[in-house]
Amino acid sequence: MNENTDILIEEFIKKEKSTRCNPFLHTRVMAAIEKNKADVILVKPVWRNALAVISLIASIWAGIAAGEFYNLPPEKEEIVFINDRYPEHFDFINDESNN
Amino acid sequence: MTDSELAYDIVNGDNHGFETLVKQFQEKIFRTVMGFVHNKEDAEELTQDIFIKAYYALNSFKGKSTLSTWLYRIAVNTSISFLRKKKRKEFWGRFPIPFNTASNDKNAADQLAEDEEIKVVRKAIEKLPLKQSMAFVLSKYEDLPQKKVAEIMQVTEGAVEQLLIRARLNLRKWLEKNHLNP
Repeated sequence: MNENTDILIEEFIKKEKSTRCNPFLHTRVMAAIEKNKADVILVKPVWRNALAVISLIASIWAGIAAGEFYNLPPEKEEIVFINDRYPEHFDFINDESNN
Repeated sequence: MTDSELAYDIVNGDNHGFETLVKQFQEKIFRTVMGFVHNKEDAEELTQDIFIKAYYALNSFKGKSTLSTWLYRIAVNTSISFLRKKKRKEFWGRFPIPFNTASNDKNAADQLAEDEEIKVVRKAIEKLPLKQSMAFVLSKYEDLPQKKVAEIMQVTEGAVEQLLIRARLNLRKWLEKNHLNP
């Protein structure tokens, strides 16, 4: 009984061991590695360009924001009310401190 | 040139050195993977993955073991993780997926064509506990000495011997129960 099972196992292993892999497997491996490298090289400039564009936009925005920071708020217009029906207040006009 | 020197050269761009390494080990790694997956297409795919993994992991190779031991370790681990994923897939595959019957039909056809004896022995090997299966494949498919198997599995030689005895007993038991005594 044991002999039979042992023979069965040995035959199975012998059959599986006789299976050969593709002799050009090494070329497939090297091609996959080269492809991975090429992908990495291709990706790099895209990232670099994107980073350059983002930093350019950020610096323009920072410039505009900094410029706006120094803009003073518009001054309120002062309207002098003049009533022509009454003589002018010479005392007020002559007062140098009001000029 | 030592293994560490070869690894250093490959890490520093010696692709020709790596190609030579692949050529030297592709059959051995393929046979080991076959012992786990029992399917040529899967074994070839996994062998390719193993070498790609090794290429990118070579900078972590410290030369504490030989390059062949290191490669066998990657091969065993990759095969085991493939089998785990496959088992998970098979588990979910039990539930019917609407409008997807093609793959099931193909499996059924393949299974019918397969020799009954081969199927039973394959099943018996697949049923082995993980460590027994590792020792069995490395020893029987690769004809590696127990010392080398112990190095790859990072256990003692005595442990490997015990694992092989238990594997053999389990295979006999399973085959007698399921095949020779129907």
